[in-house]
Amino acid sequence: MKFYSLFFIFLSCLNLISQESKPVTNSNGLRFNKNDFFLESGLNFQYNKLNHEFGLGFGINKTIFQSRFSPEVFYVLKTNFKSQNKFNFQGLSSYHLNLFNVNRNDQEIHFFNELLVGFQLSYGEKYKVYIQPEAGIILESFHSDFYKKVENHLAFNYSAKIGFIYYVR
Amino acid sequence: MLLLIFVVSCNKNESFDTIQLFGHAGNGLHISNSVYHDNSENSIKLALSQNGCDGVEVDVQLSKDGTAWLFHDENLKIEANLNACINSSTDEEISHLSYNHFNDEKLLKLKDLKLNSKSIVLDIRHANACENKVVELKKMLNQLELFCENNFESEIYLNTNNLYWISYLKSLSVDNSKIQICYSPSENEDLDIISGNFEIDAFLFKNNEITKEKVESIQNKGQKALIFEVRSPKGIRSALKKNPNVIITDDLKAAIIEKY
Repeated sequence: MKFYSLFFIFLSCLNLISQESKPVTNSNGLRFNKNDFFLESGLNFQYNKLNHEFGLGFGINKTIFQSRFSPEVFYVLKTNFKSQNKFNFQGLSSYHLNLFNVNRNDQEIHFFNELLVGFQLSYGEKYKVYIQPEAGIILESFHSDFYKKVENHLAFNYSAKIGFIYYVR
Repeated sequence: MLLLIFVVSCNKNESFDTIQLFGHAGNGLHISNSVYHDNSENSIKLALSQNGCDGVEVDVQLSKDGTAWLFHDENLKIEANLNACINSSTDEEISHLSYNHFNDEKLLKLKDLKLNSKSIVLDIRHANACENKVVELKKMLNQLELFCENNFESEIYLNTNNLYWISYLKSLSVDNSKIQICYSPSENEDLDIISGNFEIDAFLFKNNEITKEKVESIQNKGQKALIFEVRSPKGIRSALKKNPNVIITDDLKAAIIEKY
């Protein structure tokens, strides 16, 4: 339910973006964290001097190599630190929600909430390539049938992403 | 594209219903995505809380005072900042130590471990590496008896790589029919000879040192085969295809996904 709510918010944001007159960019990338490699795609737009990115992705190892669908939604808030020549340096904070069903015999869905801070270094004009290292925390939550309660497990987390950006309009 | 991903992710796996999955040293040993330190209380609880996990494997070492503690390495220096072995440290010293880990967990005594009827493999360390001698068998047996009595509902595998200890472990005076004596043979030992030892209920092998045929041969003699050093999804799949009784894995989630 939580995931579908976020997906709905994501679609609403896309609708808002489409009504914006400012430049909109599409960002695609490969992100690595403690759990998986994620293939991600997001839309960026400017609002109040800040750059907002909403996106979707999925865990490659779980989805492709283990046949277990592992979707992800994310939001990234970026602010420009410095632009020089074709280089652009942005500070950012991000939230990612990833989930998957570990055991098909029951409905024990594991939710992974990530809160990260980091930066993005990009190069280019209309088409850009970027790297995006981040660090923060990850909270794993699931309902344990064995202990009959919701289990929450917090840990240190890191993430690294490479990708490219192009102008949609 | 989304439809293709969904179709790929709905692929049905083979059925491995009879194989039990145990977490290695709790929820995994030396694995990058582990939330807690191996052999810690939280790590064991996290493993046991997951549906599809049938038990855990832990490493048991005796302190200088004769108390059984859970710890993997021979020396405490790297993981807990004390340049000494568990065997040469007192309970007081060990109780003040914490693992070098994000969650700063304390070391756990065996008697404080609660299984709630799930299974366990106790990897019993008989060697005191710091003083180059064997730990006191009687003290170890006392600790094991106490643990087995407190967890009488659980299946308990007592694992050793010391053949001399097998008879003593077998003669533990505990009313628990679920105790299994497990032996880890070295690579050069002749399995045909050892598997003739009727006191041994189960064997523990590294995944890359055992074949499907050997597993079958052990099971045909009424003994069990346990496999460890199973980390990647590929390794988990190869271990599942050997059809052992138990797989002790470092990536429990990946193993549960592969099994179900």
